[in-house]
Amino acid sequence: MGYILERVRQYIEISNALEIVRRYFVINAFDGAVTILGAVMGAYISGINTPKALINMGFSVSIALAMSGFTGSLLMELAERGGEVKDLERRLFRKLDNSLITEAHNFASLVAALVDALSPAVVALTATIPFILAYMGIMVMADAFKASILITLTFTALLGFYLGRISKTRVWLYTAAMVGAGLLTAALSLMLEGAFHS
Amino acid sequence: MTEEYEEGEAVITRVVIDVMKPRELPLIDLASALCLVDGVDEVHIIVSEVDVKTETMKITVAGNSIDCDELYKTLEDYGCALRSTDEVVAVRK
Repeated sequence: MGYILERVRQYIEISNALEIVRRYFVINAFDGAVTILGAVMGAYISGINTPKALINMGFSVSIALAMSGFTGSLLMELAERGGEVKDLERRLFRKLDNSLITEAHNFASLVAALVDALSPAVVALTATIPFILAYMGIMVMADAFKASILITLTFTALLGFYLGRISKTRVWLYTAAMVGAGLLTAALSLMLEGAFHS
Repeated sequence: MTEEYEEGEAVITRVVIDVMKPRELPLIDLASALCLVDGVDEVHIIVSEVDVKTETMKITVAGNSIDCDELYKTLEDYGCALRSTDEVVAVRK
């Protein structure tokens, strides 16, 4: 176990995985939050009012986000890091197959892909919970819509706060920017309703 | 050649090698890994040249009976390129 942990530590240090994973986490969790917000707003203005439809939509969006995140990130990271390893091989005048360097880069690609898949999916699934409660009869649909939107905006605020903490300056500005993007998405969706009704 | 001389066994007690390593590989990790090779007691690494992606260094390995095959294998596993072996000390035991 100690050996495995030591290897993981080396992989993280060599591949600079923490920084990349942190970026993927924030970008894709935000992506998930805004996507599910747009989908929920779309359902709301379209008058889709059955919990089952919203649950199916939430799960489908989560699966799509996870699939897109995993495939896109994995292929991009493998391509990007593969190119870097090839460049290094040219400088070292040797192949790096089965070396710690290649293992570290493959590890980072896989972890980045998993984070890229899970972070938006978890956010989208969490925003679907109110509709599951509505389906179980614990909550009425009007409240479920409000709760779902509130959960999404809370996620955007937390992500903004987290970014502000990373930047070590203007925490409120990052939080406001992230929440603002969420609110703008909701507002534009509502305007879309007006556009098609007029 | 005497019989006594033929019975002796030569062991490597010091090796100085010129190695190029990827910059992203921490020096401390490499030194620790080489220190765990069979028969090694001490590892000295001096970086002599730094490039954008690589570092060239002089590694001095000392011990009572260095397993050179394992030493070179460890360097290979860590993604290093052995450029030359500059000094070897062998002792008869």
